[in-house]
Amino acid sequence: MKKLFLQIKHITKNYYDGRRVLKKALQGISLDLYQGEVLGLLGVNGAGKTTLVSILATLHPPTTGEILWNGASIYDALLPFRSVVGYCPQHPNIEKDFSLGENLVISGQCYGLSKKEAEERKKELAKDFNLEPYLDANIDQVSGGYKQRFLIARALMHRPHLVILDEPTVGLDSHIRRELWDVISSLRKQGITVVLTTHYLDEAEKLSDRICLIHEGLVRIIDTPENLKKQHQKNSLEEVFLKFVDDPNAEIFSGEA
Amino acid sequence: MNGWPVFFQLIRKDLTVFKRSFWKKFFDTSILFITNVLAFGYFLQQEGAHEGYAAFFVIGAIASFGFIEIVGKVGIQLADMGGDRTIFHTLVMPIRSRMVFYYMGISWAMTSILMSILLFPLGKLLVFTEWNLAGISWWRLMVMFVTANLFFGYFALWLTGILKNMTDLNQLWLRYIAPMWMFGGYVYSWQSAYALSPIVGYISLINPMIYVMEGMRAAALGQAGYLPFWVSILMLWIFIFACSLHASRRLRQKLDCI
Repeated sequence: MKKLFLQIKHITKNYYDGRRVLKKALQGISLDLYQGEVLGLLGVNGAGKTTLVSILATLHPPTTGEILWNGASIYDALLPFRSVVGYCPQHPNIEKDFSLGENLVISGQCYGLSKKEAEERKKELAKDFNLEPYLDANIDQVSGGYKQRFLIARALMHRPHLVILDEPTVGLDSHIRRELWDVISSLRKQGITVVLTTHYLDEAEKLSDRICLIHEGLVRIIDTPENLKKQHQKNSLEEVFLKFVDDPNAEIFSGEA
Repeated sequence: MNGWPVFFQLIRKDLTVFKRSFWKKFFDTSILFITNVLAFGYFLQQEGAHEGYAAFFVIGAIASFGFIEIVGKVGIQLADMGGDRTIFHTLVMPIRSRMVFYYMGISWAMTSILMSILLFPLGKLLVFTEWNLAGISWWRLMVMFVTANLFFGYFALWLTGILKNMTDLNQLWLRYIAPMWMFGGYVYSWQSAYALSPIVGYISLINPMIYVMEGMRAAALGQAGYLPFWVSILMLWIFIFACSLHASRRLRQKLDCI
């Protein structure tokens, strides 16, 4: 039986312009996250995927709702929770005053690794991610694919239990995407829980144990890729996706899964 | 678990960056310092400024030049918030957001201290005979120097919180910093302002820069002729608390963080 890792309960997020609600980005999202699974978050632009993962990473607070970890709110154990989460954002937010290698070591030390441990972990990850030739380079000197590899490596420096990847393969060549797929698959093999947002349906289908479709701030469907195709009698995930995005009256998933 | 290990790592990181560019920045600051001291300290005496004015001016310059380094940090931070957002990586680390903002203020103050501390020997060299070191209360000077730079650090943090973007920063120099500096006793004492008009003197007391200048001069040149040293210290700490609390609130709103 799969062990529950996180419970997301009725999360809403409003963006304000002064006191006026500018946008209701999330309108009551509830879902469970199991240990060691890869959950693919799908949705069109502006669906609320990035908002949800930034709340999961504790970067932004929800407007209402709760996230439970080990039965208690993550906001009551914020620092311990943060120490087991690795967040790879969409935008490469990397310190330009340091080389990629130094960035990795600094990040590791900020998460409690000693200098020696951080150096060893850096070497280990540089090998796994083929970053060795670029450790002394600045972020501006490497290609988009290596930036993404670096961001994932940085998120893994402190050996997190939950890794959040926000569109890690967007804008990359197909062969680099496939290399990153291997990286993400290896995280699953290590028993790390992964939340992956993506626009690519093939990527979501290949990598995810379960797929969660978010549309207009709500969870529309959540299930394994095989079950989704079977239940909706579609040949591909793309057809399932289009059915739910195009049909505003399609059933909205509202319970825990 | 608390956020202190992250806090100290972040300060260490900033000091490493500062160390790498220190001499270049110090060279640039020195040019501004030397030209100011020569122009105001020496040429102004030819125009009738009192004897000892060079030493008076040097202390004011040493007190305030670290602020130039710090205001530069405001620009860098605003650019980051509107662009790369490296601060978001810090804000998901195991540290409370308010501690991240307090670390920024302290880190900026430390770079300001390191930048301006070398201006002491340089200032002494420039006004060699006019500045009598025997008159310095070293421990008062140290307390005031640290307090003044902490104020600069948290004042800059407050500016980061209230300014929307880089365009606002350009206006800030002309509209606020320059008047604050020039009417903050950079080239005259509070007593001179009061002698000109008591109203001007009292209005000057709402400018925190006056306490930086007066406090430093009281410690370095003797208490006579300046605002009471401990009043300057007290007022600066009030400004430090006010700036840090309001900055933390505004930055949490601005960055929408926990």
